[in-house]
Amino acid sequence: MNETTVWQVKTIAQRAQEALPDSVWLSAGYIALGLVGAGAFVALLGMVLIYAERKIAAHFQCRMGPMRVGWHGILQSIADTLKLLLKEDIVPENADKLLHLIAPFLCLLGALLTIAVLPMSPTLQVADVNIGVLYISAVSGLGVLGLLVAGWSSNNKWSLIGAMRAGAQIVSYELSATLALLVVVLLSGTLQLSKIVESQAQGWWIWRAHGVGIVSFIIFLIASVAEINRTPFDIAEGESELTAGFHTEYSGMRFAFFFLAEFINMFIVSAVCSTLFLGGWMPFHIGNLAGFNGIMDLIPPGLWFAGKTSFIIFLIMWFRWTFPRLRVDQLMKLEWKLLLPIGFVNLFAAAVIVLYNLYFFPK
Amino acid sequence: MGLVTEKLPIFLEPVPGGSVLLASMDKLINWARLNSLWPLTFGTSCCAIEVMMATGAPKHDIARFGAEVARPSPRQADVLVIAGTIVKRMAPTLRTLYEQMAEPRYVIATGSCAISGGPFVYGSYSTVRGADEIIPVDVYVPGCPPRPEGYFYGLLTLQKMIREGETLRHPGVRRKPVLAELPPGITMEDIRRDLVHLLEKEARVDLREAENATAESTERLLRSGNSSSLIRSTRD
Amino acid sequence: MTMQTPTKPAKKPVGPIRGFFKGISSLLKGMGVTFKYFVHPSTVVTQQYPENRETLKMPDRARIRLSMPHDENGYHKCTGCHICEDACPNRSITVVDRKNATTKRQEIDHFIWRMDSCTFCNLCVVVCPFTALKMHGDFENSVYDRRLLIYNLNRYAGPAAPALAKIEDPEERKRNIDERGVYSGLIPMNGSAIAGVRACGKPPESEKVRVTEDDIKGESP
Repeated sequence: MNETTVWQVKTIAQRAQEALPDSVWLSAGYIALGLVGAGAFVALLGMVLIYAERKIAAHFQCRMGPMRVGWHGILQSIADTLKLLLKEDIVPENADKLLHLIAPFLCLLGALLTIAVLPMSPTLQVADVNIGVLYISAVSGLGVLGLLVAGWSSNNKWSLIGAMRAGAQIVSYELSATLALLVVVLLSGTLQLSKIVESQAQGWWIWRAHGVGIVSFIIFLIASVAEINRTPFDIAEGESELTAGFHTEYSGMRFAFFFLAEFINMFIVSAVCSTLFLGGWMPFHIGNLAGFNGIMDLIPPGLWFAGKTSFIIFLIMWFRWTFPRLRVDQLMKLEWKLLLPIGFVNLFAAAVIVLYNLYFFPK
Repeated sequence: MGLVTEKLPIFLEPVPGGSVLLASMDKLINWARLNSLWPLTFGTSCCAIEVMMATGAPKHDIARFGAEVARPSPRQADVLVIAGTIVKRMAPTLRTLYEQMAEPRYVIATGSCAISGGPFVYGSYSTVRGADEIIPVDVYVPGCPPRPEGYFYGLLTLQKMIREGETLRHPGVRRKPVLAELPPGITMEDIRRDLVHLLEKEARVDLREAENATAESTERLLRSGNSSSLIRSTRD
Repeated sequence: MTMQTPTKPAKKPVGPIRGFFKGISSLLKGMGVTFKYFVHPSTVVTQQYPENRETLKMPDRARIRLSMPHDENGYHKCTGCHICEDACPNRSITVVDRKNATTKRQEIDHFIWRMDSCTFCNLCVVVCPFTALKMHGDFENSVYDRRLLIYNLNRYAGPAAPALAKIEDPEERKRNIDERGVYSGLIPMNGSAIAGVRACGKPPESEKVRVTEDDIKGESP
């Protein structure tokens, strides 16, 4: 057993709880910090990710992205956001007004609620729910609801078709994603996210669980890319397919919410992937090399988390700009005939490994 | 004008020094708008290849201007780039799309067909002689088709109009600035004088009718056989 | 006798497992290609237009704008023969000629070219017997008002350069020439009568070239 560093985990919710008997205001202050922090984080991250997407997409395609709006286009996201804020707000005449209003918020809500439980560093987590993984799976369902409500309330048959396709796609891929998640839950024995990260102190699940880990990482990645409606799985909102799919009738700030929600979902999926398979904020340790491990520990854990998440985000963007779009029947076939059976076999193998203690590395 | 600015001028005008505040708000808002012009994918003909697709390609990259996000839905697009011929059958659709766009919306007419009917201006039974018979156009980019660099110059011209021609005090009013220099041989006085003469004596432009044109009235107009009553064409 | 097309041996269809791995390898190969573009900035081919304006050159044969080249003395070669006007497929050229008072020969008065309907087909350039026209690559032509796209291409109304070269006296030359601006007469609308230019099907109402105060205040010309 190699104990190099002991990480003290403390979440903002814990701090609020501990402060409660002393001072209600301090406790409320912590809660407000958590809420506002999560909101601000989401907004800033959205703008950064949009800029990054455009630049990375450009460099994949032998061109440069935004160049004129500030040095190398850094202010492009700000210009986009300001412009969207000031655009006219359109609600179709026969649309269901209430649903049309809340649909973008539902999409963003799913994303925001998940940010609250992500362990970004031992001391930077808003709340550590003891059913973390289950909570994440459940709350991402709100995103689907937002999509369906958007398509329905627009009073536009093409939006409805797009929303139905998106709904079918997301609901199917939830199964594969959850099966892949279950593998990690089996191996680490807990649903709580901070404990899952701590269980990877000896090595990240992607290799510590040998073949099973890699397979479930790949399945989770593919299923998540499909869940967030990104190319090659963006048949629901692909531009040449159904005009703009479920968000055709949205303009200005409401459309900006959908746009933002897509990028925040991408971040969340990457964060969950890196938390469960790549060790979250755990540094990269090799066996007994104390010197190497010591150097790895010098890098702050928040930076480890950021690095891993950025890598997966880059991977997802790489997929987008390499692969053509899948037709809706090919999409469904991929899930039900390929990913789901492989997922089941994988889960079975993981169960066998856990039952008979067939670990490669010491537990 | 948007979720935010509908209230602003009322709040800000009475403030002393408010005009300075509004002027800098103008600059900021116009800067944001001109750097993020999202085109509507409306390519009907050959200009679509040069103006829409070649500018999106790596060699001439419209992403540098921030305008590569081509939204297919008119509600999310800022600028309607008319790239191609407008035939009489397409005209009501064009009008509908224009009306579905969210304010502030701009129109660039690229290529001879969209400016005046192009190769079809003489003796065609099916073409509309220029997109400005259907919708108000802000910038005309001539060419058949215009080069991508020519289209970029048109985009820069539109950006100049947004930067200098719009202000919070008069929302919805757009003034077109004089281009960099007047062509040699004429002055502003000449232009004004000629235009006065033209509008009073020769041109038959019914501005009221142009403003109140709707999809139905436009369709009626086109079916009635006159290719335009807004601007008479003697080339039919 | 029927043609015998050569037959290739039938290919064995790829089995599912082999197909699965072939699929994955093709995906990875594609990702390798895009990654190569990503990490090699030298593959960027973008020409940044407004920034490279100093060094940007259009190809020699680019047909972007019509012009009537004037030589170093400022003389053009157009004699007002109307051949380009007849050759233009959609009447984008209108040639207004006049008679020279001295030599009683036909000469060019206005050469009106409509850039808003020109298709740059080059027929006018090819057909001109005096090579008076040329297409060049000046692409910065956008306007806010389409009436500003109707140009007057000749800088003076008068005889062509060879005829002017025959006149020895420079003063005499100047007397034969009337200056013309880029926009001649009224800034014209689509097809309506330009002063002095016959609109299709309508007789000319006046030979006046430039609008004066009397025109505006008085009756229609």
